[in-house]
Amino acid sequence: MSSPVAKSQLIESLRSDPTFMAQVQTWHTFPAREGVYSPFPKGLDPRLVAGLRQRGMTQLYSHQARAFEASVAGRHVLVATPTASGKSLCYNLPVMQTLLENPEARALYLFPTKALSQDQQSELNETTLGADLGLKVSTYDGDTPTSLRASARETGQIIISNPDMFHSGILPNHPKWIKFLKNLRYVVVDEVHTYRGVFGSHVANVLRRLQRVAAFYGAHPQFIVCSATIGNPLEHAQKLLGLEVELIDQSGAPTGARHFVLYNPPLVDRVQGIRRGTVNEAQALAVRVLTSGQKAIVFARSRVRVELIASYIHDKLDNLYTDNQRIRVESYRGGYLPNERREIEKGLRDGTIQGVVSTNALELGIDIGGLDVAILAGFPGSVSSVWQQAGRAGRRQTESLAILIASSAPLDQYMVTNDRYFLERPPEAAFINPENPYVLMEHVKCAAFELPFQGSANATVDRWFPEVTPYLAVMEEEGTLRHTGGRWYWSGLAYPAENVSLRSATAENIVIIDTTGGKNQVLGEMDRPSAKEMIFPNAVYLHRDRQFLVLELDLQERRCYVEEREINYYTDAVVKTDLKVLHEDRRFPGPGCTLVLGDVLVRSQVSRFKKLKFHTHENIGYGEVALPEEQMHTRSLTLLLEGGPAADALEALTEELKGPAMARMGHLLKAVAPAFLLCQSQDFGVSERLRDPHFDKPAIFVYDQSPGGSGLAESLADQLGKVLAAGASLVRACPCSEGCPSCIGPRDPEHEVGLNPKEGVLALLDGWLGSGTPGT
Amino acid sequence: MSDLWEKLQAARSRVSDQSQTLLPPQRLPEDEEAPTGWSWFSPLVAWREFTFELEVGFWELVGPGLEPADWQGRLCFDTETTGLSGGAGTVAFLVGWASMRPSGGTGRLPKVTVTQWFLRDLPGEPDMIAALDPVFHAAKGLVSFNGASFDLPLLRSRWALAGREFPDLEHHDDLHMSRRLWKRVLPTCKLSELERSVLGLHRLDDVPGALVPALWFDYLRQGAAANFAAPLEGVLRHHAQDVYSLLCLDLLLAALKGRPEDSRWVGTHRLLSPRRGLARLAAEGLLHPDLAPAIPVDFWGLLALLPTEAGEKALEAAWEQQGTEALGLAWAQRLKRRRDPRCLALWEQLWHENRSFPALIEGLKWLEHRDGSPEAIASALNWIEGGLAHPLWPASWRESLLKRRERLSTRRPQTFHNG
Repeated sequence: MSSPVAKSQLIESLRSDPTFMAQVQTWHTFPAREGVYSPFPKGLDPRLVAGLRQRGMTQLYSHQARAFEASVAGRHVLVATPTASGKSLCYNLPVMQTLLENPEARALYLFPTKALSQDQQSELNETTLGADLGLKVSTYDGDTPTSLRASARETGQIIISNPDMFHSGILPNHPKWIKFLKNLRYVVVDEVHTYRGVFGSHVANVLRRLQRVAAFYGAHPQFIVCSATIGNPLEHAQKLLGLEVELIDQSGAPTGARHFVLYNPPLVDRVQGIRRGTVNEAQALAVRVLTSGQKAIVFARSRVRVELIASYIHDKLDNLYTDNQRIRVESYRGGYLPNERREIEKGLRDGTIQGVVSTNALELGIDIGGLDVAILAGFPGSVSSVWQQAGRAGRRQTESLAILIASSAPLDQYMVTNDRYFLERPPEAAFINPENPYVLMEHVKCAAFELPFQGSANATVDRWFPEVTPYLAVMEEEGTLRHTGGRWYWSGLAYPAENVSLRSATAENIVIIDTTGGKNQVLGEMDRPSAKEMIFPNAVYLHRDRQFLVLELDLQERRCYVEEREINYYTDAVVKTDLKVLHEDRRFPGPGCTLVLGDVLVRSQVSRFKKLKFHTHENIGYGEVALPEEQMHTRSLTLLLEGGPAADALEALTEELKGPAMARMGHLLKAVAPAFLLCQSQDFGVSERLRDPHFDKPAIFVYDQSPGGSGLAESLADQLGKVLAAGASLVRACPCSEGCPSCIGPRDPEHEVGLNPKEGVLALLDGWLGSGTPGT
Repeated sequence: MSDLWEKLQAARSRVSDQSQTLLPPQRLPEDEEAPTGWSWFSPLVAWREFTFELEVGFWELVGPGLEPADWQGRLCFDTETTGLSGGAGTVAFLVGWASMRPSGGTGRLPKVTVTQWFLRDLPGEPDMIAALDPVFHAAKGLVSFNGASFDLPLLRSRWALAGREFPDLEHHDDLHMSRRLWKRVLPTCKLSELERSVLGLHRLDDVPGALVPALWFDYLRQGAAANFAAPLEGVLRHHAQDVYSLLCLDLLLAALKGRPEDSRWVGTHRLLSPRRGLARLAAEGLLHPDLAPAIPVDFWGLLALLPTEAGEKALEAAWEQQGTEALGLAWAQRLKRRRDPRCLALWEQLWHENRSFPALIEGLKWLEHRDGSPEAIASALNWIEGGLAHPLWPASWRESLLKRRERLSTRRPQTFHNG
């Protein structure tokens, strides 16, 4: 077990290490904060008081007491306080109070992942059983055996589930849940900040369907929802629920001093601005932390990087002459089997595992106990993710340390070099659009299946789906609804929820099967689009420090056969994308250019892959891939450079510079826009063309990566001015001479002979935005 | 995507252009004649029933030993639905059952009644439930084929949505026992298969169950005409036959269960022909009768129903008659359970005559653990040598024998080692 003293020593040793400190851009210490407490509320059931006292609690944090009072007063409540501030008591206390007063009452808890449900069930059992309250808590998700489902429905006073299960398993079968739904008093939705983008828009509709069905049985449940720190928790929660809620955002929980370090790895190529990679830097730092006896969590941005960092840490610790082999480090990501994940979580809690390398899968509130140091290998794409991930260190109100290692990516470099911008920046707002027609259409179908809509053919008003009439009309035309006798009856053959996945349009997972030595064992799983890019034939699939060669990817049967091999490289697909304009909805003037909102078809294909050597990451060869292309129908904002300052500025460039300057604009947009669009750079794609075949003009397409669109294109239309200004100031402030990965990408010495793309981009942006752009 | 935008736009303009849509007037039964044999219960709900005597040959076979309580008041029911996956949007548009009542005089055959309730359009569902509710509440029990997981939960849901509670009745799902009796002798245990192979009822031009929802929706889209019997003839016939077959099957199962040791069942292939009922249904234009009925009851399934003593008797007789390895092993197993040393001889015989590996292993276990005398150990080692001499056995079998030999060798008399 690590002691606070050892931790201070580690922090001191880092502070006094000149090599380390030379790369530290900022070392910021957030001071410790005292707790603000409230006595147990007057009305709190004595059995609950006894239970809390048994757990050593004599009072509540102020926000817990406020949440209890607001809930008991019948208001919908939103708790938005930092990680580890004791949010679960904010809902557990009012819920348990109600269930103790009325054992017939029911509560529903929704968590974004099955892992969190499991966690919550054990916590609840601890509190409820600890106080001997005898409340019946049941988890109901895809893993619940059929034999337990009926009893969960009948006797579960608290049902723990996730939005996906609620959408596809519970709502469509609501008559089986009549007893539960009739008595539904509380709905708890935790981690609401994860319900953003398209996923959030889906969940918002599921919650409307929930309220609609509950109302049919005469129940109007109260909501208690919790969010991590985001820019707009209140607005987000209200939009998600479609209800007015009371915001509680003053945390009464004490925190220890938190050190937050922005670390910029040393330059290895000053001219091109290339820095040492985050993978190796994270590995080195993690080893330093682990060997000093501290527990560490490393967050990496991709599944492959998680595997690489974990594997390199193992290599480093695997030294016969030291004691380091005893340090156990695991990798953790989606796609592992549930029991593997449970085992790792448990190991972290009970201290048998000292280090973990994870994707953002561990960002959520899964209880993994207290870790000492969080290492973020690369900017995770949003400021709120940074704080979530950093919050994984020092959960026990002791001093904690989080180190963000910047990658060469432009966004990372912008964040470290503008550390004030970063530190003072409010966390991103969460963005959802429940009225997104593509999303709404699917849920109107599900809702119609659940209960017929009532009303006439031209004026059907539903309290939860007020704008539903045209959707019903479209469905009637398609033959899936029948309007008769003043009601819209479902008349399709299918079970609509089965065809609607909340997470992405193609949620069908590929099962990865290990066939080494005649085995036939499920190793893990992966979604289909990722599978095409990561487990194509001859790809190297990394899984918990083992390497597998992909023998066959059977997309039809959704299976991927792999075999364990000793290989000294990993693979990285080269993805080619192509874009076609399908429909223009709206054309309107934007900052310096014309904007077009509309539909596009994005086609992507993996045609070959690179083989990259472990450790050095050098390219040692290519391979071919023959897989069908992935198609996606989505929304796009097109920036048309015609008849305006932007077009003039582009025209003013020399012929040779026009192409590079346009290409660099794409790079720059991808780099800067996520901070403004409340998304990750993977959420949208950029494609730029000097002469677009459809518009016959220079055009930059910014398209949504979610099929059908999630509103990013529309949002960019509003924010484009700010995005371009931020891009201009980034390029101007960048110390590089002719472009670097941090701004517009390095000069391509093969194709840009004698050109300086940076000058081109600056000239273009200056003309585009007019001179006095903010910067330097 | 753009098509959705356009469709929604078109729908919006259509919706706002329309002056005023009136609700379609409810049709009255007087307006339209019900199909022959059917009566309107309400404008959108029709029903019919027909009664006939049970086939004499079938009743002679299954009747002995059956009490009226085994069948009186039981509804052998089935539903046809608008979807096959269930869920709140799935409606039962055809609900029906076959039931039996004793006839008046002695020596006369019981009477079978087939009842069907048909929903002509979705708004009629509350009426249909209102009509069926008292019938189900008055029933003594329900019989279904796979109703436990499909039809019954569906009806419960429909009742719940209509604000009623479906009665909590005794329910027999005949699928389970049928599986036990026939899964090893029939390719599938679907009702249609049992019907053909066990009851000897044959269907011609049957509508596959999977097509039923689509047929009903087609009828609906074509205007839900009053004469539903013509377009849906196949569906109505399919359903009537299902419930009649279910009734026959249920009687047969009840008879088997009541007297499983009866000579009627064992080793015989009895002719069954509940065909008079068929003829009656055929006369109604509902069924096509056919011939060649037989029931090959699975011996093993039947064995599970027999009391211990009768089971052992049957097993011993079957082994002596047929002498197969499976029968011998099963008989030896029963003997072993009674600690009857005859089992050893039986295993030895199976091992020598049938080259049965399981018999060899069972024999070795007995010799090693039950007996354990030096003679028994020596004899076991002999058996093992015999087994190892078998050239074609898989490696895993050989390995298990080698392991056993190693273990047994250490148990030989001490003198053997010292000498």
